[in-house]
Amino acid sequence: MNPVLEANGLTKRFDRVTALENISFKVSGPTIVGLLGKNGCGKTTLIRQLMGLHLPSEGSVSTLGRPGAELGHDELASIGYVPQEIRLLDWMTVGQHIHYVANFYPRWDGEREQRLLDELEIDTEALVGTLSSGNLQKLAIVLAVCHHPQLLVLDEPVSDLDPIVRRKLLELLLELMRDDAATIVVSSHVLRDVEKVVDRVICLDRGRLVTDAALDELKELYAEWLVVSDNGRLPEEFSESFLIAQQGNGREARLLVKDASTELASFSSTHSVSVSVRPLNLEEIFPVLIGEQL
Amino acid sequence: MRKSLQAFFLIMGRASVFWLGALGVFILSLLVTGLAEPDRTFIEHYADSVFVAAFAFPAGAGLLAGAVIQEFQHTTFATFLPAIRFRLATGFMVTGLLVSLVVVGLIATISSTPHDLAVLFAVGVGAYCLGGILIDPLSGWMTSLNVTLVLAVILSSHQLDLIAGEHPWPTFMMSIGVAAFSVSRLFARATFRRKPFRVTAPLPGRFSLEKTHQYRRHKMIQGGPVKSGWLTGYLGQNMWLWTRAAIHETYGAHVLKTFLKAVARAWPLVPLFLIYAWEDKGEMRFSEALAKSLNDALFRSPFQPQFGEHGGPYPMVMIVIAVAGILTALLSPVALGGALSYPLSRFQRATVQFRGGLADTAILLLIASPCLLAIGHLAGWFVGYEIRFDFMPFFLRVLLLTLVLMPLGYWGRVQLQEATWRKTENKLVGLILGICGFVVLVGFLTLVVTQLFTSPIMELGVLSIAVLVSRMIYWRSLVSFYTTADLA
Repeated sequence: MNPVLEANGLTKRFDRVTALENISFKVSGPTIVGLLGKNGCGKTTLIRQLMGLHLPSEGSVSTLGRPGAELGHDELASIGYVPQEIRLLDWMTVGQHIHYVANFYPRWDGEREQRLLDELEIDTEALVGTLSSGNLQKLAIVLAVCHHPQLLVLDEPVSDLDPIVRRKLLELLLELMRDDAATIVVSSHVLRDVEKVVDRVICLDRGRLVTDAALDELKELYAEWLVVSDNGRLPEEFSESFLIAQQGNGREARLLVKDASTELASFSSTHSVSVSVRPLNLEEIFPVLIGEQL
Repeated sequence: MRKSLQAFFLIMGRASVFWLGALGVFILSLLVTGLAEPDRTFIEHYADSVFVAAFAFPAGAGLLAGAVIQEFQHTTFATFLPAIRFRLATGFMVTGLLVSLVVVGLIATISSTPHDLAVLFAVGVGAYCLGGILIDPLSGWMTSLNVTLVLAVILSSHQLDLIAGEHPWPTFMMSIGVAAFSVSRLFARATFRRKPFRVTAPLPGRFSLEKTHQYRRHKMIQGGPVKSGWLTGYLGQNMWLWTRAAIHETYGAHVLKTFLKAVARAWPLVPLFLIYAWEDKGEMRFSEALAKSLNDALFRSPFQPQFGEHGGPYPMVMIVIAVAGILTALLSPVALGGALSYPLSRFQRATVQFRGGLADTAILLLIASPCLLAIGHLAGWFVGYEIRFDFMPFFLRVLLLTLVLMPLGYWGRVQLQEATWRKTENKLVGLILGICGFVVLVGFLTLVVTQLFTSPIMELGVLSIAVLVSRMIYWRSLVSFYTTADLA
């Protein structure tokens, strides 16, 4: 099966700035991929490469089996895209705009359109230029999903949405993956939301790919150990190789560990401590992935 | 086909496109009918009215269609619509063929001179497609080259018409070649790829003000940081410093650089001018005829000789000063506001706004007016005219009346920026009507004042007092507005 998205040694430079460096990955659907990273790490640049807006300086990128720069009618008809910065036709009403865009897609789903308009409470009579940023984001989502895309790319899709709409959007993403067998790429800083839906995490840091793994794997890999001394005194510092970070006050300590589930018993006996393990959520794992520990 | 036309006409079908089109037809009709009248301008030696009509009307239509398409290309969704390039190109071309057909049909009906209509049709199609790429928001150089090309075609239209008559097929093929190049450029995949996420100035419309602000901010940011020592300190309660800050916020730190860049981009006009400058058609060289026309229009064409003893009305001077006045008022900086919150009371914002207007007025009085006089006289000196000052009373009268009425423009600017007119559906129509109304009002009052006063000292005194009174009324209105209205 051809991968939906594929990057091989992808590098993108803008003048002297290297925005992406030697990025390689494959995504085969259906799945939901979370694209994470700090501001300016290259997420949007990577998305624009995948969408064929930017061309690689080195390496290659393909979307639905074709190079990004050569996406044609069939591929575009199977892609939905919600950019971070949304600019639509301000002078049209919401209804006119949806009608305009619908004309371009052979599989436009009027029922889904109506359901989303109702659920997201979008006024079809309003002029697009008068919409708030949140409503503009909702409209962009409606425009991106009603043609049953095989690939849906969302760049910061929830940044301006209220919690209720965010929840609805997440439900929608799961529905899309289930009903349309879609592959979905979500770039977002709202990691608590992302965590609820993503299967896989791709993390960028300063233009380089630092993590490409299933979310479950990451959750198994990283954990926090809460350590209490059995005899009232902990060493000043633990030196085990699986330790990423540690904080303590002599009697109790919080240890951030990586791939250490098999080491728990020996650690407890060696240091005469009681250890309780707390799994980390994505928001806590993220700083570790980009090298910024607790 | 139906879907292609629908894709194109749905983005064309709006009020601003209609009004821009109507304005274009009006201006081009004036140009063509002016050229058709013999012995009115020296340009007639260069331009052929029929050829210009066959070229300019389709080029204007193409310019408008191209502007709409380019605005569409700058949205964030257009690039990703399946078959969008094909559909828009189909609609664009069908429109071009129809426009060219209508123009050629009108030429065949109206003009008595023989022309090869098939060639004129091809010229029209080529001009229409060239018009589509005439202005490229992302390439100032391409725009200046294209504009120069259009000017060259108009100035050479007499010769081009002769060439087209002698060599119809090469002209036909050349026109089709220009059309193919232009269309391939306008609808290229690379063009669609580079336009999203780039901010550009929008077509006039209900939301154009906000978009224009975004565009100007974008351009300011592109200009990079600037060393403004006065900006880094605390401005305190010095309202002149805040006025300077308002000018800085409105125009950015690179006004001069932007201006010089725009001038530099017009370089293709220099070789074009040099090519024509020494060409001798009839009684004088092109450059001399150009200078003579300028000086005559400004300082030597009294409209109504019966006003002569009081300094007759010189329509061009009047129009130029009045237009400069209203544009200065409309482009004046607006009191600080928008995205940033400043420690200024409403009264202080009114003060900043008022003082910004005073700064503009000073520019109009001390820089623009002397420059106009200098350029006009320089043109006269070039063709051997003596410097004359008999129009000066009229010049001063118009200038003072413009100053009296300028607060109307400032008031309009505030309303457009801050309140009631902000959401006006069609700002373009309002703007054009406003400018025309201002010019007519200045003209009417000039005629009244010319008849009214016999003593120049009395006239000067009354008009100076009127300037002060109008500013005071404006100040009172401004304070009242800023202290009581909902601000944007």
